Amino acid sequence: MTNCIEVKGLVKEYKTFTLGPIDLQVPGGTILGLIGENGAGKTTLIKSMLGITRPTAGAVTLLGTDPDHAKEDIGIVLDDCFFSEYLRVKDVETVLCRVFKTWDKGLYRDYLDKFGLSGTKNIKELSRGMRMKLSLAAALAHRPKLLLLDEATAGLDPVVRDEILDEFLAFVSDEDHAILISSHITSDLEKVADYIAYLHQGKLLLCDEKDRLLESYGRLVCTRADLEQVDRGYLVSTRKSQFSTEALIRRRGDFQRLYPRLTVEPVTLDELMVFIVKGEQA
Amino acid sequence: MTGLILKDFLILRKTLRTYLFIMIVYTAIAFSGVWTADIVGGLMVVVLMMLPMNIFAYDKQCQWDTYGLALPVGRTKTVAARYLCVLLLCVLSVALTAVLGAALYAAGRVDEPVEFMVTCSVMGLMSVLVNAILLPFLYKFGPERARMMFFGIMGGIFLLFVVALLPLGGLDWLKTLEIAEPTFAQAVVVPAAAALAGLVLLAPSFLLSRHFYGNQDI
Repeated sequence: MTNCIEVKGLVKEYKTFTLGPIDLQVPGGTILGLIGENGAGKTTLIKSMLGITRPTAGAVTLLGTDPDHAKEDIGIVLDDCFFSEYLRVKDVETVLCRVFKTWDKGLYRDYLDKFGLSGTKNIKELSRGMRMKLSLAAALAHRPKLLLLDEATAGLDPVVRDEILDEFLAFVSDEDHAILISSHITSDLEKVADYIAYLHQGKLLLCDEKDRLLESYGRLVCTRADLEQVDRGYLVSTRKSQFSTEALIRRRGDFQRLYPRLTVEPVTLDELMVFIVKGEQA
Repeated sequence: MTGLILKDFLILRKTLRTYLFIMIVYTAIAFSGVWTADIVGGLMVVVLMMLPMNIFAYDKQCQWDTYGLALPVGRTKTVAARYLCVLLLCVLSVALTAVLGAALYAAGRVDEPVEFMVTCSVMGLMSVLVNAILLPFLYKFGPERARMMFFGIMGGIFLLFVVALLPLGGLDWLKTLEIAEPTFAQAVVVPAAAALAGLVLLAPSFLLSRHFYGNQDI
């Protein structure tokens, strides 16, 4: 299994924010979910990988080559629709079929039909959800090998989101394909992602297989007195309120064997983020 | 690159229709004798100054630049596509003005067709000159700031021109100039020279725009 994305020591410096250094690998046939709070650097990372914004340091290899040479095989959806409101849905094809050598007119029309988009409709008339669907149709119609998606499912209703997630799973059934998707809808990522990378204030805090992450971390719900007795080596962070005490623990299996009396629940990606950002570091 | 040029024309579709309508209205007014036919050429320069600003503004509105840089086109070709689009707009506008001028001539509203041709070419050259100055500004500062700066510079140039003419008697001095009617040979040479001069003007402008766009972090 070759890597579709390889990021080594990527750094992007701004006056008030620094992204990185980031090291990341996405093998073919997999989906990497990028999570992080607003302003964590997710969009900057995607833009830096594509050379839209120039990295200060580091190297990026996409589909085994440099990003400029890989763009023909990359589909991209960023957090908004980039097609002018003055265009019609079918104009997108008129433009992009001359940009991508591999543009498939039939496939584009299939996606339009699937997403309920009329070619004659003005983009101005489309809702945010419909615009995202249009962006997705445009990203998929040139048969890319790599999809870079920034909040691509935002603003979509659950039914359409589910359809699109199925589309992503079908896409990565080919071992040469991969997806990097950033999303705040972590339930979507729990459904489809193979790997999770967690960006916080420009730094990559976690990057691992999703199943391993969700299995190895857990949420301990206990009393303050119980928490005091716990080996600090297991604790990642804690949240204490007047009514409850919770802690994010690592090596859940070992912990449960060591403390069978204490309740440890599986953790969701949302909880993982909240514990790391808002919890007290243990 | 063709795709990007087409994109610019497609987003301008409605604007171009409006400008075409205005040009026809101006021609009709010139036909009625209220204005001379030269006004159509003057309008062309204004239209050609507005169109590139509109393209940049529309692109900014939908953040096309971010998406454009993710396409397999490259920064140099992206800038080249924009310059070709502007050049095409200039050629089409000059052709349209010539057609409208021919219509006015056929209706007996243009006394000197040779002079009209020369005026038309000079106006076309002015449009290219204006865009050669304007485009690097648009790439460097974006549509809003570039528009203000550009009008400031043009206003400054006009002011300097007026101040320079003051010792000679101001703008009235221009009326005292006796300019001979252009010959047919001049009517052939001037458009060709204007076209060549236009291309020469656009070359350094393109390199400057490419430099600005190449260093830009979107």
